[in-house]
Amino acid sequence: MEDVTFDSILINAIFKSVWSERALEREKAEFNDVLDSEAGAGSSKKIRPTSANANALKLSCELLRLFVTEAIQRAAAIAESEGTDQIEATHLESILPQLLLDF
Amino acid sequence: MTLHKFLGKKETPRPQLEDPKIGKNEQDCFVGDEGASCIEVDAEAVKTWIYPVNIPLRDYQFAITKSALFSNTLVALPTGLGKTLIAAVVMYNYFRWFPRGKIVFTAPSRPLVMQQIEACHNIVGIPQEWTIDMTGQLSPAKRACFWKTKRVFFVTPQVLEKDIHSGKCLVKYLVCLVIDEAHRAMGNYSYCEVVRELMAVPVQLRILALTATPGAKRQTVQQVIDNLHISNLEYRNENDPDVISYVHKRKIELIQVAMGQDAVEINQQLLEVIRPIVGRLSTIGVLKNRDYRTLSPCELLEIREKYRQAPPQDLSSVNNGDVEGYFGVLISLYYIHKLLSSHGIRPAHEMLERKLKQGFFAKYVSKNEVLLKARMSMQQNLSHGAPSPKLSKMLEILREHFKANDPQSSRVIIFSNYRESVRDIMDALANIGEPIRATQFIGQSSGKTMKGQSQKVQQAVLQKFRSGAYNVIVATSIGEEGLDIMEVDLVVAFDANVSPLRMIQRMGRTGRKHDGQVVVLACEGTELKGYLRKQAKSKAISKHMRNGGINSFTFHPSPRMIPHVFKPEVQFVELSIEKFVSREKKVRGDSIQIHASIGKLTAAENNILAKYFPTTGENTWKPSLVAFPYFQTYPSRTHKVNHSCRAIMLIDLMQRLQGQTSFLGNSKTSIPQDGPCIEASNASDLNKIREVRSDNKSHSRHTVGSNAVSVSCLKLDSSRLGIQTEDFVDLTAPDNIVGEQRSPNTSCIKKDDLPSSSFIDLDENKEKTCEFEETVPDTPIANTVMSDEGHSNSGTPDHSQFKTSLLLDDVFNNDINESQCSPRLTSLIKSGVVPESPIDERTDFLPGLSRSQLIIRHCKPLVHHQTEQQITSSLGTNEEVVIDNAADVNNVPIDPSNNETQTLLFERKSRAIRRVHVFSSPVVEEAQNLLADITNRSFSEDSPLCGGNVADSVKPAHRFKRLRKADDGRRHRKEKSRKDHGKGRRKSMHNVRVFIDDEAEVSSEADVSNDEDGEDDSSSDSFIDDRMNPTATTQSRASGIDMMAIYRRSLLSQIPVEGGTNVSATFSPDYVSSMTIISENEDSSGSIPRHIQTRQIEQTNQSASKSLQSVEGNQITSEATPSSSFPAENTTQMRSRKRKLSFHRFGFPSANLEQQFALQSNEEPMDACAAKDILCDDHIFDNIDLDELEAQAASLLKQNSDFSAQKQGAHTIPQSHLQNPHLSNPSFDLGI
Repeated sequence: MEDVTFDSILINAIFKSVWSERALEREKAEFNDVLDSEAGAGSSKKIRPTSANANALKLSCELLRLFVTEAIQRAAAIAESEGTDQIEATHLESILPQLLLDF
Repeated sequence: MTLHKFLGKKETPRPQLEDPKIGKNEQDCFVGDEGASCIEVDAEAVKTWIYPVNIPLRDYQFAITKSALFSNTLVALPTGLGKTLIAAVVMYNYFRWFPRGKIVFTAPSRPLVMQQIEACHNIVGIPQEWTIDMTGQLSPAKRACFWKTKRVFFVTPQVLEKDIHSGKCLVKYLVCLVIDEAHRAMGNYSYCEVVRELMAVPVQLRILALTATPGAKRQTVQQVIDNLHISNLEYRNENDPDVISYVHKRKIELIQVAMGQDAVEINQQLLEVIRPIVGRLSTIGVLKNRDYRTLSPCELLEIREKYRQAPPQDLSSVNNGDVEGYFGVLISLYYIHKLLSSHGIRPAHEMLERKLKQGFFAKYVSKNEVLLKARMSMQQNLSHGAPSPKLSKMLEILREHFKANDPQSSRVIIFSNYRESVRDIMDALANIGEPIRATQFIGQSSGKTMKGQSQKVQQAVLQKFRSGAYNVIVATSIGEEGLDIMEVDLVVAFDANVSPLRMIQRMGRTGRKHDGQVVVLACEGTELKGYLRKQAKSKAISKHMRNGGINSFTFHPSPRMIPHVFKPEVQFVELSIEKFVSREKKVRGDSIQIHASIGKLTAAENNILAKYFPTTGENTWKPSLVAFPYFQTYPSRTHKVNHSCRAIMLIDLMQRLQGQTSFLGNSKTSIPQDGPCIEASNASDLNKIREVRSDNKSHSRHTVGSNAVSVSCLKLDSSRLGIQTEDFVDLTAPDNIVGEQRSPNTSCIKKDDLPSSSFIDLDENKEKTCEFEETVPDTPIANTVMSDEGHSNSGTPDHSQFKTSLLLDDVFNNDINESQCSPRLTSLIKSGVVPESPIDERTDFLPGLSRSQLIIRHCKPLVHHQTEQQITSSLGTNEEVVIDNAADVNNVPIDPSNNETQTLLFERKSRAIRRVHVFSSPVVEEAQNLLADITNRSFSEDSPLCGGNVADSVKPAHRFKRLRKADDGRRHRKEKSRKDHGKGRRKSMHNVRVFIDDEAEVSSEADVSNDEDGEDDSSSDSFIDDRMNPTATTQSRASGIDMMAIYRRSLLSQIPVEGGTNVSATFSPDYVSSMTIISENEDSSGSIPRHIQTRQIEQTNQSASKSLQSVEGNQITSEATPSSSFPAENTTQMRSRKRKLSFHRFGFPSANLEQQFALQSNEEPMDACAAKDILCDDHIFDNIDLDELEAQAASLLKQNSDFSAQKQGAHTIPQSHLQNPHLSNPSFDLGI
């Protein structure tokens, strides 16, 4: 079980999608700024998309794995004590604040 | 230690060498030794030297190792006989002996370094944390760091030289230097520099030089010995007796190849070009009558050197330049000639082309007809593509070899001196195809015509060669030295005319593990002659080296490294060697692996990604962090990651907040009335202030209200409502509506209704007074409780008085009913718990007493509650009075705020209680009995616990609105439980008033629950919570707790609905929960760890232990049944269902249900109390609805699933809405 972790490719893809989204937003914002300030200095500095190297990805995968397993285990504990064998959103919500603080 | 060394130096018996000269030399160098002794010896380790027996012992290795340990040794051992083992063992022992000493192993190339570090590790297993391989690739800064931290270094000599120069290498700590391929230690090579530097320092260290080919000549060997300060030569020949058994047979085959016809022709032409030039040089006298055909470039170089050093006197300066030019041309031509003969036309042609572009050569020969002709014929030959005879011979050999051997396991190395011919060979091999998979292996320097291989590529090539991806390597001289490739069983020397050293090295590539074959391809003529000559030379040198070369070479002294007192004994040890982990490979391998795989997602995966990570839109579900605040009041169970300090902080904070939530809810509701000041004090830190203020105001209002109440019952009601409106600004509207709604229903009903409730309150109050009568002796806290109660009573009595007068009948009826029940309960309690006679006595006249009390209170409606307390207490038993005073004393400073706050809460709660009581009054007696039983049981269990603590509990624990310490809380809780007992007893006594009993039960339950809660919350329970619980009447307590516990639900339901109903609504769940708690208490008996308990409390309800349900059912019946004949069980089911619902969905349905129930119950009591009265439409409607509900519940009974329950909830909600159209549907905003 310990060996099973997230596919680093998948994580990378997710990261990239988020980053590109951010980059787009930033670009938009900057574009607006440029419009507002009328500076128009030209887009000399290109926003390079954020990237993660292999080891960083590996680490991220591990962290995510820990996070998800912990979340599930805790939610499962709640669900169990409620007598259900299905984790529901409410269970997750009930453990979420502490979980987030733990990580 | 220096002394030891000194002594050791003086005598220095060399184990191997007895040469007197050495002894003398040692005396000489001894002087220099003294300063360099900064390395300590491990006295224990130095008693032995370890020889590993992991590998079968070989005598020659053992002997050489032994001598190498104690003197600087040059080991000349044929290839493949395990020189590395000797080095490793020596290093390992020095590693042991000198705990701080540093050991350096040098090998001339990076691949060799990498190879040797692994080999050494596998032999002796020096811990890898001490070893490091350093090549030029490592930055100097890093190297400096490693020099400090590591102890065993595998380096290239260049790196070592640089680091010694720059002082990064801590030369003082060096104890052992191993030099691999020591035959390179010639001239200015780094090896020599390194040793020179070290000797100059001076550093005492052991030098171990390893080579297969110490030198081609005696002089070169002597040079090596001098350069490396060798004092001992260990030479073994393949034919030596102790070696021969380990030498694999190596068949050396010399194949003579005739030169191709074209090549011969071209050769002739070249010689034609050469001849006149040689002749001219001869005439000058530089060349001494040599046959121009036997000259070689090397000889010419030598001659030129001579000429340059001592040019003949008669030459003019002009001629001098010419001579230089001729030499250059000759050298080039001879080179081409040699290439042509040994490698074929193509390399020669390329060489010629290159040379023709260079100024010097072009100037002298570009117009030479013969050369041009030769060039032409070369080009022709190349275009025709006839392979050279050597090449075709080689291919033939290869084919045969792979026919005889498995192409998978067999490996072949082809050596060639020139890259051009390597390429030729590669081209030729490519034409063959399977089974030959060939690759080239060349140096990294980029020539003009072809690029070199980087070291990375070289490594990769070797790796693939080992694994079998390639089975033929075509290598230049780079592949000759040291590469340990076990499986090579054929070596083809494409050119024979190389130095014997190199030939030996080439041969050394095979025959390492099993028999090997060497094929030397030699062209007839010069090449063959050269080869034979060189072989003869190498034989001659081996003669010199016999017997340690004592007769032929002069040796140098070597220092004794270990003090003389130690005489290491050999110890054969089987070493356990951990698996070697390559430092670089690991990182590189991973990164390569991952990089290669990045960016490959299938379309399906991309779809999933797009689904869960939408690029735009807010349609993603976001989990709420605030939905379950109660869950945050205790640490959730963790799996592997424990709670961080922040999470614990959150829990702590939430516990405080939750503790105040019930209170906060009130204060919040009262915020609008209080105005800006309270709003300003919203910050949680200012809770105290806020509470006080709000309490004050509410208090004042309350008093006002109570005054108003005294005017008339109607007014009373309205005033109450008014108070409520003040308290719950949000709810005022619904309240009023309700009030109005009711008011049309004939005043008498109201009168009946309200009075009854008030009367019940009165009873309740009475009960309370009794309670505190009992509790007072126990604790000062109880006093405050009392005072609070008294205060709260002050509000209630007003009504009760009026009402009592109005509705004596009802009361009497009730009393009668209760009295009927009482005997059983009392008996039960008496048997179970400590019998309390005075209370029993009181029971009879309690109604009257209470009334009188109330009257008295009424007389002083506005008197300070303390006085009230006293009065009430005076009415009560004597004990109280005494303690009351004390309590007063205690309370005086704190009370005002305390009581006020509590009164506020209490007000509301008492009101609620009243209602509840009203509902519960007509409850089925059986159910009550059951409840009573339960409570009694719980009490009986609690009593032993509490009894001991009574004494302790007599402490003024009035840290108001502060976090109580754990023990305080516990004490408090115990006191409470005490109180509970009292109540329980009283209950039993006061059975007459069934509803009171009920209430008492509730209270007791609440208390119990409170206890549990308290325990659960442990130390961090906020004081206010505890406070409220004891002070407010039982139900208020319960509500308080439950409001804490079920904050979401209760608060939700509370806020939107009218005050009274709200409270009652909240109560319903409270009841259940408290009941469950009790049952749990019984079950768990406190042994279960805290938070588990709490969880259970919260959740066991859902998990639906049947006993709990039944209890609930009873409870519910007690609440809701009054009006009707439907079976209690149905309701229980309903209740439990509802319960579940409320747990599962904290949203509207549950709230609605509760609300509905509350309403029902509200109205039911009215029905019950005023049975004679005409039921208003609403009531009837309610009843009908209830029936319907019951029916539904009954039907649902059969279906046990939660789902159905939820449905039920869904059903009931609309009904409730129908029922109470007037009720403004509260906006169920989870405002948390």
